[in-house]
Amino acid sequence: MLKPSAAYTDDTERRLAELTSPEAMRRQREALARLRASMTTPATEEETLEWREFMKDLETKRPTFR
Amino acid sequence: MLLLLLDSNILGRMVRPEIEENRPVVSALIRLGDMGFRILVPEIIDYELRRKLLHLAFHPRQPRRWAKVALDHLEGLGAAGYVALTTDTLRLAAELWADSRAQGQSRDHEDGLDVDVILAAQARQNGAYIVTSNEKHFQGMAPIFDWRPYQP
Repeated sequence: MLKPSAAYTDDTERRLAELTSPEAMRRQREALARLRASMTTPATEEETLEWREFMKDLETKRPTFR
Repeated sequence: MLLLLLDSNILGRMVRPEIEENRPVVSALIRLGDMGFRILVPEIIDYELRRKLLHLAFHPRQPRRWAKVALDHLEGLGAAGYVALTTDTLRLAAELWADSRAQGQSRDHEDGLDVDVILAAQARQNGAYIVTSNEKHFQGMAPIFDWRPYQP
């Protein structure tokens, strides 16, 4: 059975305050606006093919740290 | 406010919004961000994605410009919301890993289990949801958020 993990969540309130601050929300809006703008420039067919290979590799070869 | 942690199969698509097949997930997450959800980059996923992008972006014989652009997007998303690994994260992940093994779960993706449990631990610690296309990998370990209803 999983042991109680309350001891591992003590810092949650501080982290939440940082992650949801107005400054963090502003940075998120900026980052998402850049993504939105990039969507208007389509990738080439070659880049798309390379990207598919990249994602296939990313999803099948996760690090194991062994 | 809901916190969403991106798995590599989602973050990898977010940093390539120029690819047509990535647009549904990118659009959905932009919409969620507009609605006030926090879109967060977990450190373990940043590592997993960044190392491969760096390899391609600065390849000695064939550097890929698209990988540099993707790294820029990764930087922007990370600056907007980054969930760092801590000692507590890894200790909780160790518990999740042991519990998963004890229950005989996740044997079919043993190689990815380490990253999965670290990501699940980050989600549990922060009261966050995981956005992933491999829902079954997190079954019983952390809550999943379904982005699909938010597609345009």
